[in-house]
Amino acid sequence: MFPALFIMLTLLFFAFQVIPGDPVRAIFSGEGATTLTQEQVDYFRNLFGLDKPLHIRYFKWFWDALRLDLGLSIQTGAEVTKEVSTRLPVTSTLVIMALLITIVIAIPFGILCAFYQDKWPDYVLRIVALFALSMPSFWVGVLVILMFLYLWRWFPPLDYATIFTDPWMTMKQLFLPAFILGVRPVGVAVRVVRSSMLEVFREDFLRTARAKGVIERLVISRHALPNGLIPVITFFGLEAIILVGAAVLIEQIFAIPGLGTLVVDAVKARDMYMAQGGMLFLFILSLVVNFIVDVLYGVIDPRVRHEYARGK
Amino acid sequence: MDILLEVKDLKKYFPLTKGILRERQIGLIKAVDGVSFTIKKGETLGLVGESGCGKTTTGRCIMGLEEPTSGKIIFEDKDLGSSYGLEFKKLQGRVQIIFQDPYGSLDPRLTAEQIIAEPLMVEKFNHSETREKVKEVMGLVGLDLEMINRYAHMFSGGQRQRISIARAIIRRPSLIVCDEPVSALDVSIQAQIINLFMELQEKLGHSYLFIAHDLSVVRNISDWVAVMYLGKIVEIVRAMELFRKPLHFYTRALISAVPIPDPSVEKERQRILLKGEVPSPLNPPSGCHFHPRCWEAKKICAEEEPRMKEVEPEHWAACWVVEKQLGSRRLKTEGERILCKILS
Amino acid sequence: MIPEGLQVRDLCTYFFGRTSVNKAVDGISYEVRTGEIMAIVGESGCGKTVSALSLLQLNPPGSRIIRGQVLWEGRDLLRMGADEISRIRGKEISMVFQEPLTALNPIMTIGQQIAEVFQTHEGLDKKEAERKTIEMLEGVAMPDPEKRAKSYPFQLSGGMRQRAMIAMALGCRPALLIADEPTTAVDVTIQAQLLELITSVAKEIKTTVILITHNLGIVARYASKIVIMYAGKFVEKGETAELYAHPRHPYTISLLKAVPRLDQESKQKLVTIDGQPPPLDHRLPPGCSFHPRCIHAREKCKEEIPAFRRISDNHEVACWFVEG
Repeated sequence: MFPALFIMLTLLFFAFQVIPGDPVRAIFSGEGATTLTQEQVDYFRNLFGLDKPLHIRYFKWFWDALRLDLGLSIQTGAEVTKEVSTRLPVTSTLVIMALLITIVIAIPFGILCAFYQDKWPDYVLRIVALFALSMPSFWVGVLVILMFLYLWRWFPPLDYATIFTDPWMTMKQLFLPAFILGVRPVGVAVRVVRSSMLEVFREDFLRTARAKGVIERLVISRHALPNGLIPVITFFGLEAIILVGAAVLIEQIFAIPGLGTLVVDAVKARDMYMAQGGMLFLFILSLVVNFIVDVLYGVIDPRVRHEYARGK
Repeated sequence: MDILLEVKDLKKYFPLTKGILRERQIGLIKAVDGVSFTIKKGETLGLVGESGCGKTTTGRCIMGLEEPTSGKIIFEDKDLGSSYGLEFKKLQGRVQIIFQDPYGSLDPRLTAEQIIAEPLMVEKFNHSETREKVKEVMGLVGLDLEMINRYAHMFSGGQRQRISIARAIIRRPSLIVCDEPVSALDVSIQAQIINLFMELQEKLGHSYLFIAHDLSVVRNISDWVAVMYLGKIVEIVRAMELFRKPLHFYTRALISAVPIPDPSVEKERQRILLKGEVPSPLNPPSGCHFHPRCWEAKKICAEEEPRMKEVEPEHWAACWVVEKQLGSRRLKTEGERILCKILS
Repeated sequence: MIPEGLQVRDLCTYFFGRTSVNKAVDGISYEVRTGEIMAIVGESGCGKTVSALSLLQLNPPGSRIIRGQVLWEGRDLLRMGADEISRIRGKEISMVFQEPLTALNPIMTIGQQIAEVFQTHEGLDKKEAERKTIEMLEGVAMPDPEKRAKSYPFQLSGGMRQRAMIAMALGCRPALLIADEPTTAVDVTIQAQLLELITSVAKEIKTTVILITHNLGIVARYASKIVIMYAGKFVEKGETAELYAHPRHPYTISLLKAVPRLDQESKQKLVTIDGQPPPLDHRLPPGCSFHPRCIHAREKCKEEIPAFRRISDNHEVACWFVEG
């Protein structure tokens, strides 16, 4: 995990060096902008440490970042760390809700598909899944908003509650975006669950369970399911990371004040530090999810726990 | 000298390592732990033992697929010594191998001809010469010539083994190492292939190192049999004697465990049941590796490792009890024999 | 009067593919009396495993039992519903399978898997089931039973896994045990241990055993009765000693001659028959399936499937060449 962090911090830093445009001028080039004198530009540049040589800026940023001081926003002057950590729960909630929705829908459907393999429920569900995964989330998002607007005169909320202030409200507000975010993953997940379950159904130990007299319902729930869901965990781990990326788009569409919008706005304004800080937290979110997946894997599959490689 | 292959004190150890950044050794698997035997021209030595005894690793060392940790391998009077890899390349062709799994050991996307001709790629024959040679060996192994262009996956298990055998003999090697070549085959096909092995040996005069766990098959096809247990050879004797008079107690247990397809014979046989399982090669028992499971074990068996001695004419065993039982009659190590020869 | 033991009548299990029908088991009939050890012998693909699985309606997906009766204690196992047959499986009739690594659930401890039998059939609670599990493991001579009960299948050797499977199968003291190639995957000394275990425990709790194998040696040592199977059908049945001494079906004869024996002279050519067992679909030879490989084949053999003829009290053969 730590080598990844190190590489990421470095990449982040250098990525933002490549973006064209000088941050200071960019900020002051909005409407009603005054033209700055060179002195003023220099002043601001010094304030934000932009006049120091590249390698010094790099080390300073790196070192500060490790102590969770991500600098000041060039745009607003606010502390980046504070801004970013306020937004983190929002995005996290969104992603987690999307994941949960995906799990709740995809797993039963996937199992159904496997159960009714090659019969009509299987075909119908697979076609629906195909549609689901072919639709980009932002497109679906816009479509849904338009539809809701037209049919029910519904507007996306202007002000979002956070999970700490009002959990119930948060969930209500984020449900629709989370659902839309989850459409594509559901499409892919159903197929993954289906194929994994089909493989498990072929396994000999199910036959042993039946030969012991275990009834079919328990053969599936007690023996087939736990084994079949192991590869699905990996899938969800990967999917979660992709979701974090997709969440950025959804946040834009629904005007959700999450990390995604923060980063996008920051990049647009050439607010280097804010953008870097936001990206860093997004990255940490992904790492944490990955870590949870690894741990889950170990919990469920004892072979992983005991370093399975005991050949004869 | 009609000794084709001489193996002296062959050892192959596999270190077990742990750790990502700094690999440290946490154990040593002594897969082959001091194995010695000879194979004469035109003869078959059967190497038999249960899983984990090291017979496959021994075969791989002789084939050059593994580099021995120590020991000598002398093939056709040439020491395959320290420049192992290089020497071995020069030999390729004189020693060939046939593997166990007829379904895994052939590339299914190659045709029979391509597989059989593969060893010839080293020598520069042209296409028609190659084809002639391929046809010749196909005839020798009993493959229908019409199938020369069929893909490997279209053949049955028995036919695939014939392809493997054809590939092995195309360069007329003097030694063929066979690693469980018939275990995956059905009884009637197995019999065909076993006969084929013997026929080819009669016709072409090569030797076999026949590695298998099926004692009946090994007994049938071999002139000599070497029994292995946990990396060591415990007994070497002529195949016919193995059943008549097994000496080492492991061998006796092994033979007793193999049922004979004849109820009247079975009724009369003594059954020896070994207790427990084969110990791990990571942590073999002290002294004689077999002593914890041996019903005749004495104190010395746990303390010192017995060495291979010719306890009876043409019958070697590594066992303190056997050595003692057969008295001082004819206990000669290899060295003593040579000494006697020189003196007389 | 309820007949004792198991009676199988004209069992047929076919595999239905897209274009072809594979007659894996094609009309087999036999009886096993209480306390016997019967062996079903044949090479791979002859249908012996499918026939055994069919007895408990465990035939593989893609296959269907299209006719036949399996009479057990007066009831036909093939006509039972899912619930009813589940009550019999594992309790009155059990199975042991060939490859214990794949036959055991990799993410459950073997203790849990054995305990499941007790929980399913005897309604025991967790503690009781655990206790009985340890007892069973001791009964199958599992070294260090408490530790092994908490182990997962991949942590055990092949021999130990098979012991676990045997413990699972014999836990509820079934009246019939079907063992499908139980020792093919283990070393020969472990094989001897396991077979001794199965046969001695079976004797002790008076269990009848059906042993499925291709190993003619094992059969000679342990079975009292055998049937030889070829291409989905039985070709010869009889008492072991009689069959080995006087084999009559050409396939049986060649099979016995093709097996290398430990007590034979070495470097002796084995007697073999050319060719291999036929595929069981439309390419199956008409009449007697063995006729293309049989030196005694006549016209009749190509046309009609031979019926069983009684040679003696304990010996039957299905062959036109053999006179009854």
